[in-house]
Amino acid sequence: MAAVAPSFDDAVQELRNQRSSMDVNPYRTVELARLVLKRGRRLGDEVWAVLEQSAMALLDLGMIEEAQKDIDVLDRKFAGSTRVQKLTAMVHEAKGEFDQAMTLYNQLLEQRPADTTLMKRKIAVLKSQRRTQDAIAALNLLLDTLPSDAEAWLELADLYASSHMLQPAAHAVEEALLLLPTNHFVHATYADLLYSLGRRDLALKAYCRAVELVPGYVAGLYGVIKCAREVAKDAPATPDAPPCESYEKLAKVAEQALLQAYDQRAVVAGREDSAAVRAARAWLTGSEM
Amino acid sequence: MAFYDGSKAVIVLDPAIRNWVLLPLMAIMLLVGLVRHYVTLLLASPPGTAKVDFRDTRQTQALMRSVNLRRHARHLPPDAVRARRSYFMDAFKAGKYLKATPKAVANDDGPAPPDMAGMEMAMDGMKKNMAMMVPQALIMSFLSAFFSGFLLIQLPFPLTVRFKSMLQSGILTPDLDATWVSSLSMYFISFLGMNPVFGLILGQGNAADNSRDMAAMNPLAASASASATGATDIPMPEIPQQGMPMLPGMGGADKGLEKAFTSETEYLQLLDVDQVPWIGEGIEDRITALLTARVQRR
Repeated sequence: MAAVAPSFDDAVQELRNQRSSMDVNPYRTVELARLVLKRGRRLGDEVWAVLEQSAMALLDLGMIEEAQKDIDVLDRKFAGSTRVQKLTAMVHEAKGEFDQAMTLYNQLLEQRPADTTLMKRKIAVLKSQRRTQDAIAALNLLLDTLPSDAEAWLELADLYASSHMLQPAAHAVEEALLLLPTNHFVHATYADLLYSLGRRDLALKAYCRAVELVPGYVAGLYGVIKCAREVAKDAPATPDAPPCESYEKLAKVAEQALLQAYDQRAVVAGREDSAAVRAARAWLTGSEM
Repeated sequence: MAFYDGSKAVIVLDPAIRNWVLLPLMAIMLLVGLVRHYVTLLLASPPGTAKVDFRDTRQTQALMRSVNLRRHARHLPPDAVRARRSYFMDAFKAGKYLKATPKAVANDDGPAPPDMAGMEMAMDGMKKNMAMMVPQALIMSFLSAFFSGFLLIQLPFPLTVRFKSMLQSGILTPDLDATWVSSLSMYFISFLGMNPVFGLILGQGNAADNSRDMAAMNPLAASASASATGATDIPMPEIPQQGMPMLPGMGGADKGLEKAFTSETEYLQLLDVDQVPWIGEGIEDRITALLTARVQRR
């Protein structure tokens, strides 16, 4: 978190970036939005987009009354707008009033049949109601028509994994991988699933790819270490597979890289390692698991 | 009466030209841009209300998915690629993703039924083109009627002699410096440069932006941008674009897609999974080397 509050223009720009990227941190959004909305007049027409963004972030954090205040402002300005009503439906969701939310979404879909965000919110309601199989079916239907949505594929993988259907989950992550082939996080997710499916050799390759894309990626490095150590112990998969010494070498150098990453963080933070980091160091340098 | 001062002729223009031509021209261009922006906003329908036939989307998206598989095959393990390849080949052959239009199948060469959703999109595209072309044509005829035959302005940057025929359209003088231009050319130059001004007044993403219109007008630019997006490495089937003003025979889009599916099936057949350079091949050694270098460096 920034120690110094960002300037007005920086905050506005960061909010704009967040609106277009998938990667949102609701705490940060709320912090920035509060800063920016104090001088809302300077934004001109952008203030409405910021209000919408702030309302959604507040709902993410469970601050329903404050979100409702933002939504009321939007409602006064854009009475009867579908977009504002979508926010109202999200409030119902946050309060746990799922039937009302679902009815409202269905109504809105009649007015806007091509709005995919409404379809996704319906699936989110199903998920909140723990109707996982229905959510999976609905999401599959959406992806049959619109398969180029990586976020949706990842959500499907998450739903499958929570139902212990690991093979379909891996399949879904592969689709996301085809859409975002240079995203280290997707590779790491794929690796996690492969590991759970028992394919440790493939999992190792996927973790390696994540690390290749972002060499300091801590989760990837952990994956590499664990898989490399285990594959080194197993019998070779095929006759021309690399010998176990090369895996042990990989595990060792990955450990060093990880320890180096922790050292660097300690230098930056300027204080002692936390208990978690100490435990991690012990695991890394201690006995093989 | 020597007007020559070394290599440049000293020309002084009547200030009336500035007052009555240059300033009004700039004002007109600005106002027309603003009007275009607001008219586009008024004509545009709210997002998500356009009648989209999802069967059309599904078709094109299925094709794109297969193209994407071929493009990024090296990022997946070979077994996964093989499974998808055979799935797509079977599905495309069975026409699983095709929007079934029995009439189009029945009479192969006859006039295809008009496609309503496609018509609407074509009308929308034409409306936008009209909004752009009409003011431009009007202003140009206005300029050539009233403001031709005299110099308007001297450009502040040097130009070669070649530009004279282009920029001094009504004024045939062999000795005149190419930096002196006529009103029509000033119009063109300003037209090309107005985007930042509109950006300041109307904010980003305004509808007075002519860069998108230029791209639509210029087929060369369109194909250049298409190939620049990295599609040069793999062959792509011809997918008829929706939204282009195609009038009679809109149903021809369906037939075009059938052909696209057939050619995509062929491309899939040509894809030899064993030849795909899988990134997982030898990745352990690469990472060992990468991490060793990283550890030794710091």
